[in-house]
Amino acid sequence: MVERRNKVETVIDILEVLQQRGKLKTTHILYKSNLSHTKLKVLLEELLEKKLIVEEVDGKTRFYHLTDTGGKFLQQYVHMKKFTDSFGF
Amino acid sequence: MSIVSFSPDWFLGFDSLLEFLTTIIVLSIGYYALKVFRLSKASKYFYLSFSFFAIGIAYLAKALSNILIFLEASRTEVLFIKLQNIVLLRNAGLIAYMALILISYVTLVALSLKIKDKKVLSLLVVLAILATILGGSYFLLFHVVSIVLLLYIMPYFFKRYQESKNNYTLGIFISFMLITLSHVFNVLLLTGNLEWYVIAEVAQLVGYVGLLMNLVWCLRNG
Repeated sequence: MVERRNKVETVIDILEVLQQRGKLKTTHILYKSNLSHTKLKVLLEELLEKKLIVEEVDGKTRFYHLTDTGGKFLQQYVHMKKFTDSFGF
Repeated sequence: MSIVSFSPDWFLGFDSLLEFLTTIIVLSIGYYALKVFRLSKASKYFYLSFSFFAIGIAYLAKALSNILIFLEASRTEVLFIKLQNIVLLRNAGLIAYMALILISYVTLVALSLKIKDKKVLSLLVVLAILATILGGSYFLLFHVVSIVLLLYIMPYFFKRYQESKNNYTLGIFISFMLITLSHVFNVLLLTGNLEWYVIAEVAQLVGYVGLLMNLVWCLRNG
């Protein structure tokens, strides 16, 4: 059975993809995050609002990349989760 | 009910200091587990955080009780609290310490054995507390029940380490081994050698410092 991701886990997945790939188009994030277009749009707006990612427009294409704040948030989350996960529960 | 202190005279007061340090360490671990729970909403992190907060409050209660034992030993009345009330407060603190430690260990056992039924969890808590209260010696039974509970938790961490070869999990296993040993050393107090109390307090602090070091390494290096 596939476990459902919660919102934060989805956000973390998106931020991780952006960290690995640097700059991505909406369609690529959509493919990587496995979300519907509407849900992804809402999530990206929230991430932009919280300054975790920035938008870059090149002609008709929108690109997104991680901000320093987004990088720090991702790092903190990953480190804290690593500690709690090391309990193996 | 009579709970006596097993601390050697020279160690009275120092034990409170070690317990305050343990409180700070354990509460910071609980705080980080709570942060992960608030982000992930996974209940296992809530229970992990709850366990460490309960251990933290337990050690705070024990530290305060030990201060009262120290005052009682020096026959000092503080802020108009009469000696008789000091004894009552000290005993209340020690009971709170024992109950909270047992609750947190049962929660950790439940997490290790994947017990999700809250009725089973409450039954384990009631049994652990009753086993301690209904016996003649609170002190001995508390430590024996704690050792039994920790002996259910430790193999889980070791198995997790064998599977993952994760050094952090090994650190957690070693820390819990030291915490278990601290309870064993407390039982050894029955031999009449009060130095076991000092060894137990130090082993327990080193165990929790090990958990803190794990946390710091994770936050620094990931």
